[in-house]
Parts: sequence; C-alpha cells; structure tokens
Amino acid sequence: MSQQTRKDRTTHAGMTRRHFMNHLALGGASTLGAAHFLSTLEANAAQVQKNQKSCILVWLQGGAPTIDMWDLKPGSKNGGEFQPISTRGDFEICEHLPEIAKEMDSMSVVRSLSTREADHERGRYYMHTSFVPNPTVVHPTFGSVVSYELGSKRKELEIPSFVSIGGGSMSPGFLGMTHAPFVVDRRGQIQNAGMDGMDQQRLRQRLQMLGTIEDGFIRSERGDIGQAHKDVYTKAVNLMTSEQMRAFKADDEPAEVREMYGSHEFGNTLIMARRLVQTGVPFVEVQFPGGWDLHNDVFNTLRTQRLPMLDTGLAGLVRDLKQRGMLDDTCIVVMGEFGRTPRINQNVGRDHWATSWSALIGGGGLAGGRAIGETDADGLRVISESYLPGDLWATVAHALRIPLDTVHTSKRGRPMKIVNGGQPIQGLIG
Amino acid sequence: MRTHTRHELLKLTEAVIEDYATQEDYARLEAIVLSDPECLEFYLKHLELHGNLYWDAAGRGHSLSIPESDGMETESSPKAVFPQKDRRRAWAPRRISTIAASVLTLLAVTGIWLRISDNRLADPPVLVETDDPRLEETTSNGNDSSEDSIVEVHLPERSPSQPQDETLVNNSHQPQDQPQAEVNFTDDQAVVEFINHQLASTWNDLGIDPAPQASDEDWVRRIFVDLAGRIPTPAEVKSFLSNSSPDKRTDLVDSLLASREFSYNFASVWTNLLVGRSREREIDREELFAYLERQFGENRAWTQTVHELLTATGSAEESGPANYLLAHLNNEAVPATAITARIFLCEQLQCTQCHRHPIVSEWGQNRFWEINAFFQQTEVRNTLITDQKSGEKIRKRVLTDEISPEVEPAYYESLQGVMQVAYPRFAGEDVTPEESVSLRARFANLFASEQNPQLAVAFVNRTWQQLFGFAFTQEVDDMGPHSDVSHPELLSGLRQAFEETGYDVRRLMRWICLSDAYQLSSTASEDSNLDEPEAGGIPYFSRMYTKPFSAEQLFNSLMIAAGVPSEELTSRGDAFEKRENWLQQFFIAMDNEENSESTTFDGSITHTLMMINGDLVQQATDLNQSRVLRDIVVDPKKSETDRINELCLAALSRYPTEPELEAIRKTLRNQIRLRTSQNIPAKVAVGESLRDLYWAFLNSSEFSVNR
Repeated sequence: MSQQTRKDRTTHAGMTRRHFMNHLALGGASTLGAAHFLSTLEANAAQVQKNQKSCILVWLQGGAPTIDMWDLKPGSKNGGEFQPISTRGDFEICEHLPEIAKEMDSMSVVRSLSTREADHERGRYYMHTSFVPNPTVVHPTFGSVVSYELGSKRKELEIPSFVSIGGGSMSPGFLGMTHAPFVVDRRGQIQNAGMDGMDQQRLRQRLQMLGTIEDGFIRSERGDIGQAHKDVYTKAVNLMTSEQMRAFKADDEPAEVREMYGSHEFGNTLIMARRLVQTGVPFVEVQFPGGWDLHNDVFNTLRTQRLPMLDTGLAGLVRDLKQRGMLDDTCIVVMGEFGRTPRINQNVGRDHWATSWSALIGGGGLAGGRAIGETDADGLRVISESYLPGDLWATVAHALRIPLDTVHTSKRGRPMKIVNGGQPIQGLIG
Repeated sequence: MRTHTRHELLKLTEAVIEDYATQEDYARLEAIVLSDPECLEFYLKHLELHGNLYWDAAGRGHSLSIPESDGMETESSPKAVFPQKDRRRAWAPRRISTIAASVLTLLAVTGIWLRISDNRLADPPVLVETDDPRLEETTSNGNDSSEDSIVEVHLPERSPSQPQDETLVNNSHQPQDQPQAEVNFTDDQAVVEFINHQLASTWNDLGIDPAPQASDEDWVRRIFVDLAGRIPTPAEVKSFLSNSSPDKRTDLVDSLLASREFSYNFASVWTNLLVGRSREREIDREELFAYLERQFGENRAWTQTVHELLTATGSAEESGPANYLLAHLNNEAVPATAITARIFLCEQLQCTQCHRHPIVSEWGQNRFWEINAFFQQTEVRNTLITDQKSGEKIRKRVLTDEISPEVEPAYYESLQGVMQVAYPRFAGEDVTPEESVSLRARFANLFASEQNPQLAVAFVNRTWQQLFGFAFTQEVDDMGPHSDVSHPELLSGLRQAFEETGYDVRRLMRWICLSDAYQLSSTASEDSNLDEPEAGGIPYFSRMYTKPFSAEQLFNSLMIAAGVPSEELTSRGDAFEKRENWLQQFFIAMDNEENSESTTFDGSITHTLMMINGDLVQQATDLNQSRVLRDIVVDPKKSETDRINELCLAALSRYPTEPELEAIRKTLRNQIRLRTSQNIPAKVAVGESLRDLYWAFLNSSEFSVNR
C-alpha cells in the first residue's frame, strides 16, 4: 500500500483516465495505463460506428392499434377511419404515416404476430423476454441478453451496455444486475452522476477505503452480495468519469438534425438512442412518450397525437442512420405488448388483442420493403405462418450475429435457450 | 411425503416436462415414484395438469384427439381463438406426447405394482390410441408432425371420500381445520414453542444444523430495521449491548412494537402494497398512510382494517381508507378485483380475468368476475367543491355507491368471445342486493371474516416473509393449490393462532420475533447448501436470510446515520414530504390500466449512483450537516481507534473486528499522509479522511442489508 501511495503522489495531478480507472478496481493492485487514453478512445469510437452491431427498440407502451398503422383493412367493418397509402416498400400503410412510408424500402412489417398474452404486464414480459411469465424463474429481457452477449465484449464501452430511455423495460433476470437496463429520463439527465463537488482524487480515495472494507466482507461467507456490489460500483464509477456520457446529450446535436427528427420529445429521445449506438451501446430501448392503451377515441388520438410524432421521429431515425452509414448495423424494432381488437368498441376505441397484430422491423442488414405474413380481411386471424416474440428476437439476434444456440443458465442451474428457441423469420434474412 | 422429497419430485417432474431431464434425473424420478404410492399419485397428477395446460394452450385440444371438422374451423365460427398454422399447435402435441409418454413409461414400470397394491388407485389408467409409448424416441427426434402419436390419458377420478386425496396437490394450500388441537393458540409462549418445534423437527428430519445465535450487535440492528424501519442509533446499540438482563431481546421487541416508529413503518409498508409508491395516481397517499398508521398504532384487528378499506366512502382528502379503491376502481374495477385478491389473499387472479387459471382448474373466469360484481355499484364521482378560504372551486374525487336492489351483474367475454354474466358470489355464498347495504359492504362481511380463512393465511405468509425475507411459498403472493407450502402445519397453526387471538397484528409479529429461528445468525453453517432459498430452494429458516433494505429503510437509515433524531423521522409534514419526493426518483408508474409500477431501486447503477453521490449520503458525510460525524471528528479526546470504532458503529451497528481495524487504520493513515503531503493542514487532513471512511462504511455492501 505505501508503495502504491508514493506512485500516486507523483502522478495524481496529470492522472489519465485509464490510470484512474485502474485504481478503481476497489483496492485491487494497479498498473500504469496508456498515457494517451482519451485519444485512443476517440479512435475506438470511430471504429465503433463502422462495424458494431446494435438494436434500438421503440416501445409503444399500452399496445398500439397496429390495424390502424401497418395492416389496414379498408372495406371491412373493422377498418376504422383511415385509408392506406403506398410506400417505397411493396405494401401499404396508414395515410397518417407519410414520412416513414418514404423509408419503407429499408423497413419491413411483420403482420402475423400471434402472441397469447393480452394482459399488459404479462404481454410486456412476453414480448420483452420471449417467455411467458413463470413464477420459478425471471427471464432476462432481450436487451439484457444483448448486453450480456455483446456489451461485455466491448471493452472500450464505459457506459452501460443497455440503456432504457424514459423508463420501463424489464428485468435482467438471472443474467444479473450488471445487465439491467440503465434507465434515464427523456432529457438524458442522470441523477447523481455529476462529478461536481467531487474531484477524481477524492473519489479514488473513497473507493480505496471502500475496497479495504469490502475485502473483509467479501471474504466472509456472504458470498456473491459482495461480488455483485463490487461489479456495480465499478460500472457506476466508470460512468461518472466517462467522456462517453456526452452521448446522452441530444441537445448537442445541430438544429438541422433535430429538425430531421421532428423537433419533438420523441425525436430527441431517438437522437439520444442514435448517439448511444454510435458510442457502442448495443441495445437501447426508447419508451414512446404517450400511451397507446386506446380503449377510447382511438382515431382522433392517433391522427392528432400519436401518429404524427411516431412518423416524423422514426423517419428521421432511419434517414439519419442511413446517411451515417449505420443503418446496416443497427436493427430497429417498433412494437408494444400486443395489438388491439379489430372490432371497434362502443367508445370508439379498441381493446387488447394478441391474436393477430403487427410489428415494424428493419435495419441491421435485414430485408426492407417487405410485408411478412397476412391476416384475414377483417384482421381477426392470421392466415399465413404466424410468429411469436421469440421469432422476432431470433431475427434480431441473427442480425446482431448472436448465435441462436446460445444457452444461458438460470440461478437454479436450468439451461435456457435465448429467445425461447424462436427461429429467424426467413422473409427478413433471405 | 416429506417436504424435501416433494420438492425434489417437483423439480424432477418439471425437468421432464420442460424437456431437460438427464438420464440420472429419470433414474432418480423412477426411484422416488416407485418408493411411495403418494409420490406416484403426485407425479401422475402433476403430469396430467401440465398435459391439460398445453392442451389448452394449443387451442383446447383442437386437432389433437378431436376430429378435423371441429367447430372452430367452420365458417359459422364467430371468432378464431388461434390462427390456423400456428407453431404452438404443432409444438403442443409433441409436448403432450412427451408427457403422455412419460406417464406411460412409468406406468409400464409400475404396472405390476399397481395391480398388487391395495387398490389405492381405484381404476388403472386407460390408455387409448397410442403408437409408440417409448419416451426417448418421441422426445429426442423432435418430430413435430407426429400428430398420429397422440395419446389420451385418463386418470382415475379422485373421489372426495378417499382419504389419501387430502395429501395431494392441494393439501398445503387449504390448511386442515384442526391440525394442532393440542396447542393452546391463545397462549403466547405456547405459540412461540409451536413455531420452534415445527421448524426444529424439519431440521432434525433433514439433518440441518441451524446457524448459531446471532450476536447482540447483529440482532439489535435486525430488530430495529424490521420493526422500526431504520438502523439503531449508536446510543441504542450501546444500551442494548450493555444490558445484561436475560429478557433483553423480549423487552426490546415489546418496546419497539409499542413504538410510534413501528406503526409508522408498517403503515408505510402497507401503503406501498395497497397503492404503490408512485404519486401519479389521483389519490391522497398521505391520508391513506395516516389512516393505516392509526390502525397499526391502535393495533386494530386485521379484519377491521380490511373491512374498512373495502367499504370506505368519501373523498380522497377526507377519508384515508377510501384511497385504496379510489386508486383501483378504474377499468371496470379490474385492478380492484385483482389487487384485492393479490394483496389480501396472496392469490394471483388477474389472469383469470380473461381465461381459466392455467394451473388451478377450479379458478375459472367466473370466480374473478363474481368478485368483480361486488364493485359494480361503486363509483368515483368528480365533484366541484368550493374552498372555504380561497373561494376557488376544487375538483374532488369521491368514492360512493349507487345502492339499489337491482343487481347490475359484471359482464365479461370468454376466450371464445362469448359474452358471460357473473353475479356477486364469494366464499360459497350468492349475495343478493339489499335496499340499504352496498354490495361491497356485503362482500367485506364475507371477506374479512373467518368465512374466508385465506385472509389470515395470507397475512401470516406476508408477515413471515417481511421478517424472514422468504415466505412459506415461493412467491409470497402466489398461493393456491398449485404452489407448494414449505411448512404447511406451521402456516396452518399460525393462521389458527392469528384467528383465535382476534387477528392481533402485533401479537403475530411478536411470536415470530421471539421464535428461535429469528434469533439465528445470518452466517450459514457448513451444510447450509440444504437451506438456500436464495438459489431457489425451499427455505428451512435454519439461519436468518439477508434482506436488502427497502427504499424507505435506506432513507430512514441514512437519516439516522446523519444524526437526525428518530422522532423527526416519524413526524408528518415536511419529513414525510421529503421522503416521498426522494422515493420518486426510483419508481415509475406504468401507463396502463393494471396500475403497476417499475423501479430502479434494485441494486442497479441508478441506485448505486445515489449511494455514491446522492444528497442523503452527502448530508451524512458533511461535517456541518451530520451530527454523528461531527461529534466523532471534532472531539479532541477521541483516539484514532475510538473514531474508527464509532464510525463503524454508527453505520453498521457493530464494532470492527481486529483485522478490519488494522486494515482500516492503515488505509486511513495513508490517506492522511497523502493529504498532508499536499500541504493540507493536519487537522483538516484527518477530518477529510474520516469523512471518506464514513462514506465508505455507508457505501459498503453491509450497510444496505439487514442480516
């Protein structure tokens, strides 16, 4: 320890970040790191943009009426008020989504989801994890799977490898808290992450002290509490001191970029998502601002509020990724926990419906411009091959190059296939 | 069947069903099943259950044993439940055949035994239409198209007259009426001994050595966190350690149970259970809290509290208990129905809103809607009331009933899309409306009484879980015929004791806190691998399990660590407001009609950043704001060792061990030297280094857990 201290004393003034980080290994031994770490980091970041795979999930909380968005039924009593328009893909979508229609050569629609969970909590769980809820095990949300598989390999990534913007998402389950979604609000403000009022030396000293105390605790019999604690502290401190925190600042983008995304709350969160992906974060979940649980007045709400925002925001994201050459490495999935009833209820709303509904998916090298699967003329049932959440996520896993035979082991030692044995949707990967 | 056998059997059966059983698993399963007729019956029953479940999931057996011309496929069918070419359907038969084949394999082996046994199974199982009963072939080739290998398995009907039936799947859920007639459950000492005896006999059976007694240091912290919701102050720890009375633990339990902090703490626990922590619902959370604090403070019978919560009327601001239903009456009272069952009965009914419970076949959709029907007269009225002072109109939400002798039933759709009607019915009683009494009041009369024993069972299970960290069931609020109870007799006895003492909440807690198991250390003995509920095993309570602090416990404990007097923590107004605001950063209300919320107070990075850098930790480690820290640092008479000892005591309620003291002293001195070498005056260097030490104690993994 005393030798350590002497070394510190000579270098602390001009201490580099890597050097600092080495000391944070909570009381562990340290070695001197590269002097020009920050410039190395910039070089790495440039690399990141080129070939790292990632996924952005746009979550339509409450369950969106996909029959009014991606799979219209003109002529049916269930058809509702909207008319279809053509797109750059080989299918039609809702007239109130004109901007994204222009980008449909890059995106596809899966119209034959048939998932059996029509309760919000269960549906949220099922669509995030590919598994139906089971009291004996908590399955990881797919973002945690990606964090586990890809995030841990990205050594240059100092911020969490799974970010959830605007709350929500689900548990990392048996993959552990280091793969939990890092929840930030829509403005990208992260409470308690600032370093103001504390200099790095001070933080380092505190952590050294903590290391001294923890060593005693970890050695005692209470096992993995100590290890988990150490891991999450390392991650938290990584984040506090990282230059990569700039990724959360969507406001730093020039005005023309923000305009491209519609200059609204949703657009700004998508800009943040793109910045995070650019920094190397492999999975970002964005909660759409505004619920989709439209039991009442569905058409007015869609026409005046939800659809215009969704349309401009998503179109901005696809265009921006394309212009930056990132679209082929970035998967985009747009869905909620289920669709909504084809039948229009007495309150001009639609209720929960998991039997036949749609999701938007594209990027990451997946085929664009296609409508996969089919529902009948009234939207009541799937009349082609139907798909489960596991199939959607298997398609994403394929795009992210995560092998489908990857097996994780639950806390009780039970092996589980990722995406519950789902298979990639052939029409999207061919 | 012993509990551990049952557990092992369940695990193995699950492995077979989920298709991951190894050869050894099969061998072991066979050995268990053949060793005991009860196990055999349990196993068969379980497989039948799963068979039905998959059958249902596959579209109620469509295209399996039913001919192709099933009505669901015809033109006239109003709604298709499942699409035609669904993988599930192909998948289900395979599962069914796996399960059926598992039954067959075992039956083949046990066939002879069955015949010579004393007619325990009245009729041998009848098997129809089977091609190949060989298990391995059917499962390992994963052939989806083998529709013709479908088998039907008819298990013997269980007749209620057969006594062995009582020991099957649902024995544990419905405790027998008079299981321990010899125990006097109104005698406190007898109940404590009963708990001790029940737990110890399992330890003996399994050869588990219970952990040693917890040290006084560990125990005093434990009881304060559990009952008062905060760590003890250094003075409280010292006073307990220096007390030599043999009854000191009993005395402390009694004094804490009688304290203001106890009622405040449990009011806070139950407010969270009833309406969540997020403040986005249009209710007056503080009024509900104040009501519950009174109930716990006056130790009202649990039935009374539940009755009042279910029957209260009035506005959010004027009627505390009305806030429970004001929060959940939305969406046709679906949340009110599901949450009432989950919170008060520890039963998960929400899925039966749309379909029969997948595992518990007797929980049909009607059961959900029959409870829901009791809320049909109840409504939330938005009324404009003129404020006396300002003269402004204020909108108030008022809970009221439209009492009428005309019953308005609950309507719901079955999975097949058929409209159904449910009339109010609970605990086997059909309730018809009356002129003057609201339906929910009639419901409360049935619900909050001995006619509903599950109310007491659930409260005991919850309380046990609050104090031990684990309940008698794997999930505290998922009881039912499908979920195993680790100690059925103990649960049943405590239920009886709770009922016989008039649903006395404090007495129940007192029995548990004075039990031998509650006195044990959280440090496991060597054979602790038998008792690891953390890893999914059955809890045997042969040691104390470590419980992470709740957000409220952490808030209160950080305040105590900063030297805030404990009386201030239970004062209402500003202190309440401060805590509520602080909690908001961790809880997000979900934008859906189930009124759920999500949290980042779960050991996540967000949680950790708050510990590293948050305002409460800053306050506790600031010499000007933290009385505890200032007293220790400023007093010139204190030695270095005194200071380390006292900082440790203030944060962890214990003194450091010799090796810890040694290690801390070394790091502390290094840091002081580093500071003085930077021309920081010695006095400041010492103070700042002690601040860092206190920060480290508060951030240690030991601080945020109750052990």
